[in-house]
Amino acid sequence: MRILLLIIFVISFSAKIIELDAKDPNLSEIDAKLTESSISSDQLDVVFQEFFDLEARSKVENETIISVVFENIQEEDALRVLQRSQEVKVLKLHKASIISGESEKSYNLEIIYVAG
Amino acid sequence: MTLVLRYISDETSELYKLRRGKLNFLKTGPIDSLLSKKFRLVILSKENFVSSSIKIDDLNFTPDTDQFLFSEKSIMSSEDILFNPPKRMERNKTWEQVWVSASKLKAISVKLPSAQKFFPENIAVQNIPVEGLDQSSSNTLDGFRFDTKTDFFDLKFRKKRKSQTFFILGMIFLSALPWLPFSSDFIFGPADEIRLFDNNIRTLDIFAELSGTLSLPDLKALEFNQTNDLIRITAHEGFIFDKELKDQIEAFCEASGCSVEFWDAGIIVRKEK
Repeated sequence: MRILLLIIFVISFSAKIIELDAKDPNLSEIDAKLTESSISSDQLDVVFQEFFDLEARSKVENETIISVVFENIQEEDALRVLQRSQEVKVLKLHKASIISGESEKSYNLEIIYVAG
Repeated sequence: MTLVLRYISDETSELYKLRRGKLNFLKTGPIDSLLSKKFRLVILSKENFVSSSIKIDDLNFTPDTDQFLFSEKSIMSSEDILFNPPKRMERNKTWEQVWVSASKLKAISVKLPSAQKFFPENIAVQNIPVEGLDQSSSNTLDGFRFDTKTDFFDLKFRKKRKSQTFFILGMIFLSALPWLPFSSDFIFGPADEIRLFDNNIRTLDIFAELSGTLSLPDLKALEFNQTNDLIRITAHEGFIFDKELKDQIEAFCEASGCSVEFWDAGIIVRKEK
């Protein structure tokens, strides 16, 4: 009887652990970094710069709207950023704007994400 | 055949056979002489337990089964008392309760290794009057009715049973614990599901197709609004979308499942839902 109860106890805990593991979304590196609760707005710049491999400035408004701005980048970089911006999954991609930059064939790019 | 021992003292005890709920006297003698017989049921004679009663009217509440009503009356220490649940006696309109000294009962049980249940005589045994037989003259319980379903003292097995019950309930609770709402957060840490978004910009494909099909002017600005599923295309100042280009864009949108809206400096293409 005791052994049976112990087996039930072990099975119950194991099943719960398996269930929790199955729920693990297996986040990508950028998503994992963005979900870190301790991340500050200064660190956010670094995270996006590393991810897009370009100089970026980020701004957080009302703790929910995150805008990432790239200035005077080449067309191919703009397209690459546009593609990569879709890889972020923990933030909802709201808008991507490409505006002509200061010089010919250079562009300013703004990506706007919404948190939660 | 069920054998029942009536324990009076070590020197005097009586052995009975239980038949159809009635006790049939077999023999009497010192306890050692009766041990050759195996008996599980023991009737404790009046000398071996204490009994008291209280009028139902005097007690303005219904006692719980685990309540000892006579703690002030008893001279035994509370730790040494083993009591049965209070029993309502309709005949006398009283609450009756019996209790024993746990240490004394333990000492008796040591001498009676096969005994499992100890019944207080006044609760478990009832006298049945039989015509022509003066039972008061005999001190035995011969012919008396014995109710084995009544409350008894269970010194030997009570502790074991209690710990077993506690263990079983504890294990069932522990097994169910991870599945109870919110409890898994305490055990395994917070497991809030992270909401993930599908961030594929569908309008990007439309624009790629559109710009591949038509010769669009140099654009001043291009906005992919993912939330509203639209592309805002802004041309350089002075550029005019002529009728031919407009027709081509409209024809494209009709074929691609999108709608188009022209304004002075550009166009808005919306993906139809």
